[in-house]
Amino acid sequence: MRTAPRTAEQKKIAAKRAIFICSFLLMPVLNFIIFYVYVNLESFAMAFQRTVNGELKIGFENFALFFKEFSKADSDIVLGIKNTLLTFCLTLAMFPVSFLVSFFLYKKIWGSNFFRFVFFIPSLIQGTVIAALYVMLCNNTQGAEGPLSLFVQKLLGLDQAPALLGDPRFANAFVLINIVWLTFPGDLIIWGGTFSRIPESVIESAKLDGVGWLREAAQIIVPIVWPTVALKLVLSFVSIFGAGGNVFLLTNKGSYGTQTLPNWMYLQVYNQGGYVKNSNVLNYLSAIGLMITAVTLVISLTVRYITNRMNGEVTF
Amino acid sequence: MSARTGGIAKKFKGAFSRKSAGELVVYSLVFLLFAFFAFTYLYILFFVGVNGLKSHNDAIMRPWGLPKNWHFENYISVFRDLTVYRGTAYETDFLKMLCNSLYFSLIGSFLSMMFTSMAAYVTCKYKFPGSWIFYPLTLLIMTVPIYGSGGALYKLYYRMGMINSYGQVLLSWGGFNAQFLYFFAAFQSLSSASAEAAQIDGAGDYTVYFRIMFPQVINLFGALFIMAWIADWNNYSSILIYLPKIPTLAGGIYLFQAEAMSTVRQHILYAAYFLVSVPPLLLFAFFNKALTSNVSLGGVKE
Repeated sequence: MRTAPRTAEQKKIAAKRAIFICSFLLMPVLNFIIFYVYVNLESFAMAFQRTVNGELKIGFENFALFFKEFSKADSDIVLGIKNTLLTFCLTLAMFPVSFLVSFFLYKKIWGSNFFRFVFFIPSLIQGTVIAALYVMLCNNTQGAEGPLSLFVQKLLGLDQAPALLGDPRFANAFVLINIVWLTFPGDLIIWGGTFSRIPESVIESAKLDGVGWLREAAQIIVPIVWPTVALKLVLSFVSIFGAGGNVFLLTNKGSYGTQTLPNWMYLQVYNQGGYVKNSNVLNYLSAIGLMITAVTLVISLTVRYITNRMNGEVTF
Repeated sequence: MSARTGGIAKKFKGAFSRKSAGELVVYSLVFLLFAFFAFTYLYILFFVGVNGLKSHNDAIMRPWGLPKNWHFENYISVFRDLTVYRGTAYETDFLKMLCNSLYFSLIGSFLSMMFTSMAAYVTCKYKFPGSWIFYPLTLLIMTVPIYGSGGALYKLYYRMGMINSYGQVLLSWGGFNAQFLYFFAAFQSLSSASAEAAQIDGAGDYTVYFRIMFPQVINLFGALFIMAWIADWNNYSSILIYLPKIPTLAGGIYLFQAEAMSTVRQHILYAAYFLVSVPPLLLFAFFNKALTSNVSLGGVKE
C-alpha cells in the first residue's frame, strides 16, 4: 500500500493517508505514553523519593528500608514473597493439569460440551460470589458449620470445627486449595483454540497406528502445540510475582498468615484513601516494584532462552 | 427407551468405543473427576440462588438447607435494599450500580477493542517510518511486566481528577496489549487484494477499513469484546480504588457485604450475588462457540 508521492494528486493521497494513520494511532500511542511510559517513569522516580518533615529527599532510603524489613522474621513482605512463590509453584503444577483437561475435552470425552460450558463458570462470575460459597464451606459458626470445616474436625479429631480461613494453622492451605479448585479447568479458550488448529490428518493417522492417549498427548500434541506451551510458560514465569490467591476476599485482605505480594501491593494503594501527595508508602511500593521488576526481567530472559533452546523460537 | 435417551446412549457408546480397557478406565476416571468439578461449579450458583430465597436468619443459620419459607420477593427487594453509602453525598442503590456497571464495562470494553484493532490494522497493513516498532514493543510490554507502578498510576488519576469520575471511561483506550497481538495476527492473515481493488475504485482508507477489513475480523472483535466485558463486569479491585463513590455492581456488592450482616440483609446479598452472575452466563451461553473458536495464541507447528 506504500506509494512514493510524485504528482500533486499523489501528494494529496499521501497526506490523506498520513492523516488516516495518525488518526488510528493517536489514541493508542497517547495511551502508551501516558499510562505506560509516564507512569513507569514516575514510579521509577518515586522509588528514590522520600518525604521527611515535609521535605522531599532523594536517595536510596526506600531500598534500605526494604532490606531492613526483609531481614525481619515477622515481616509482612517476606511472608508475602514466600506465599507468592508457593502460589506460583502451585499454579505451575496446575499447568499440565489444565493442559490435560483441555486435551480430554478436545478428545470429546462423554459430556465434553457440558463440561466445556460449566468449566467456564469460575471465570464468568464475580470473585465475591465464588468467595461467598468457599467462605461458608470453611465456616465454623455453630450450627452452620461448613462441610470442609467439619471434615477437617473429623480428620484431625478436634473438639470444635476450625475456622479454616480464620486460623493461621489452616488458612494458607485452604487458600491454596481454593486456587486448585478454581484453576483446574485452566485456560480453556487458548487451549481450545490451539487444539482446534491441529491438523485432523495427524490425529487420524496416529489413531490408525494404535497410539494411546498418553502417547498422543505427550508425543504428538505437545510437540505440535509447543509454541503455545512455550509462550504460556514464558508468560507464567514473567508473572511469577503476580501470583496470589484470592486472599483479599477469603482471609480478610490477607490476614492469618496468608499475605501475598500482589495483595500487599494492592493494599498499599487501597489503604491510601486519597492521601497521595508525598506518600512515602507509595514511594516505598515503587522501590519494591522496581526490585521485583529487575528480578522478573532476569527470569523472563532465562525462561525464554531455555524454551527457545528446547524446541525452537517462542512465537506469539 | 425413548428416542432421546437412545440418542444419549448412542453418544455415550460412541465416546467410549474403540478404546482399550486401560483407556476406558482412564476416560471413566477423568469423567468422574470432571463431573465432580462441574458439580462444585454449578453448586456456587445453586448456593447463592437458594440462599437468596431465604430470610436473613435462615440464610445465616441454615446456609446448606432449602428455604423454610420461599421469599421470591427478595429478588425484587434487591433493587430497593441493596444500597451503599460512601459519605453523605454518595448513596448508590442497585439500579445505579447496574447502570454504572453497564456504562463502564460496555463503553470501556468497546473503546479499548476499537482502538486496539485500529492500531493493529495500521501497524500491520501500512508501512511508514517506525511502523515496525509497534509489534516488538507490544511483545516487550507483555513479557516484562512492571511491578509497583500502582501508586504512580493512582497519583496520575488523582491529578487528572479521574478518581470517582465517570470520565474515567475515556481512559479505557486500548493499544499495545495482548489483544493487539490477536488483531495483528488476524490482519496479517487477511489478503490485501480486496482492499487494493476497492482503493482503485476510489474507496478511501477509512472506507477500506470499516467496510472491508473490519468486517472480516468482526468475529474476533466480538470474542475479545465479550472477554473484556466479562472482565470489566466482574472487576471489583480497581473499582474499590478508583471508583469507590460511584461503584459498579462488582465493587458495590463487595462494599455491601461488609454491612449485610449488621443490617440484617444477608439474604439480599445472596440474591444480588445470583443476579450479577446471570448476565455473563447468558452472554457466554449464547456466544460460547464464537469465544472458543476465534481466539488462539502461540500457533501450532505445521
